[in-house]
Amino acid sequence: MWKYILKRLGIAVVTILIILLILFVLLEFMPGTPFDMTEGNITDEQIEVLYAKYGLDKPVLYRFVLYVKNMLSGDFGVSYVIQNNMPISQMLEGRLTLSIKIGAQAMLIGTLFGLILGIFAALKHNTPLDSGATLLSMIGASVPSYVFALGLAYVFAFKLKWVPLLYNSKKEFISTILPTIALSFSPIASIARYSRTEMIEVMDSDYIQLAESKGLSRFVVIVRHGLRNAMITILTIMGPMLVSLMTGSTVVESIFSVPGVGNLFINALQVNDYNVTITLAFIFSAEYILMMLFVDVMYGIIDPRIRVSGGKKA
Amino acid sequence: MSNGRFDFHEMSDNIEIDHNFSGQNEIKEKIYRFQKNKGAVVGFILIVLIILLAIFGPIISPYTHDAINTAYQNLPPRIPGLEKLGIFDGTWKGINVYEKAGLYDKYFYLGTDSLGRDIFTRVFSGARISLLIAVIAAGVDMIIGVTYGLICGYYGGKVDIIMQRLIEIIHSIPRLVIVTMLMIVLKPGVGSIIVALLISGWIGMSCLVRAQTLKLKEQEYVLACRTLGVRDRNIIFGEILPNTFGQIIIMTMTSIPSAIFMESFLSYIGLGIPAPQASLGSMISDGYKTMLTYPYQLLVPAVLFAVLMIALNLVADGIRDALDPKMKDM
Repeated sequence: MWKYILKRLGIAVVTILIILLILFVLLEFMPGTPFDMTEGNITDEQIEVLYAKYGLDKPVLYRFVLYVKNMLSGDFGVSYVIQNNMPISQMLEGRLTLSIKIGAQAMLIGTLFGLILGIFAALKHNTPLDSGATLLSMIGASVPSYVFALGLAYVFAFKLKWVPLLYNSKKEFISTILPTIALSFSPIASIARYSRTEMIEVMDSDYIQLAESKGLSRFVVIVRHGLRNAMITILTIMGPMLVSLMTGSTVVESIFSVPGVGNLFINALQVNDYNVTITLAFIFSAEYILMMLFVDVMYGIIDPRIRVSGGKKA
Repeated sequence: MSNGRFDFHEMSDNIEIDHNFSGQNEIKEKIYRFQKNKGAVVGFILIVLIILLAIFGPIISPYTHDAINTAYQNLPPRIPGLEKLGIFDGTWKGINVYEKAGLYDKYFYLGTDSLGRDIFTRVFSGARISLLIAVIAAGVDMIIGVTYGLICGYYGGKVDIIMQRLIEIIHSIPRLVIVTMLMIVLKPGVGSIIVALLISGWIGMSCLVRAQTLKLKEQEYVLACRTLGVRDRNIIFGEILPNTFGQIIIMTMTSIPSAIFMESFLSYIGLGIPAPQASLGSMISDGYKTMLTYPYQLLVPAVLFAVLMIALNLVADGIRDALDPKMKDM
């Protein structure tokens, strides 16, 4: 098991380095110099001075090593446009935790309601209730989270005025309700879908019949014997779910003007703040790689067959 | 009942055919399975409708998607015929905006936006671009992914290992990052969106085809071909490829909605289709700005987008169930 985890960790580190290289190359190819946005006209000499100041006059390889070293030690450079010369690591403070908090809330609600909906549909298999649940999860899976976010914002924030439309740091929890709900639709839908399929299959199996004939209560049978097996499938769809959550969170955060990383990312993209953009791209990639690693390791723990074959999935 | 076979068509009036074993031709059987799926049929009809409107809507409309006319700003929807019923009659908050502005003979079916552009023309020319991008991206994805997967799976060994490493790296970068980073470097436009979607889009297809090829190449008929001295190229494209068609079609169908989603996402954040060209994503983004005063400007593109996505997913599901019943419900 440890060997497997170490191997996966090694691959993750190499991938992160490659991503850094790609980002570095992209920085090189970005149109213009980073100082185009600075107010007033600057002369070529001034640009040279600035280049020297930020070490941009050194050879490429040297700069790459420096870049990697800085990034890995948490120094992501400074923002050029959004907040002049503010270190990015300082900008990220608070934003990252807020985004992770909303993401985790959405994931939690998504898993909970998704499972309830999925199990419910599986137990009422082939009834109108099942079709209704399937239709709901179809809609949840197809419609992007930002469309839901816009609808929620209009109905609950603007018409009913239950919650503030825009993020209010004084009422943090209430402000995160709508973004969380908007983001949770897609996890609800995919978990409901997969757990329904899985539960239908599991509830048909012999050991469920055995559990039932032993006289265990319906609840215990469903939760302890049925659900545990469905969890494996749910783990496998964690990766794609995380991706959709990440993409969704950027727009959803900007709709509700939540001061999170997603919002900052869109902001940086729109005003060409390359340093911020690239830092966030790196953080998203690293987050994604670590989550995938976590999922794979968890998968190995839950399903021993994968561990033995060295993590090879079809 | 000639040549010993039971003729079902003769008897079809009075017996119910068991479609599982009726020995129909394969395509007919698949179409039959697709038709039995109500959701898929509804989705299919909706897609055909949207495609027809996307092709002909902007042509028959008297307005263009980019003509700015300040006299027509923020007009509510007004449709001839329906206005007599009291809906779509051009009234907004109790006032007939058209009469107030003196536009008695103008009809904007879905209203106009804050620059006076006809929303009907814009949503459907936007849908046209979205569909075009998605279909091209999915098509090229398919070609690249299939070729890559076939080569990986068929040759195996070192070729496979090296090619799989490349896939692993691209696969471990989130699509959001790849696509947005590329859009910054490339000039915004239809072409660069397609390129950006391609870079990350073909991976899934190639993994699928590779797995299928690994399975198929062990089968006897491939061995027979090899023994007979058939060229590798002919085995790959002539023998193995046709047997993976079902899976390829399913994968392509599911990649179309995700391409549309990505395109709308890019346009929403302003990295996609440049103005004044319409796109569903950029229209939703514009509509959001005026949501509080003129909600229909958001509602129209958002609803069309949602319907399009649901319909595409329904059809993709239907095709998957029809082509590969084993994958049903997954």
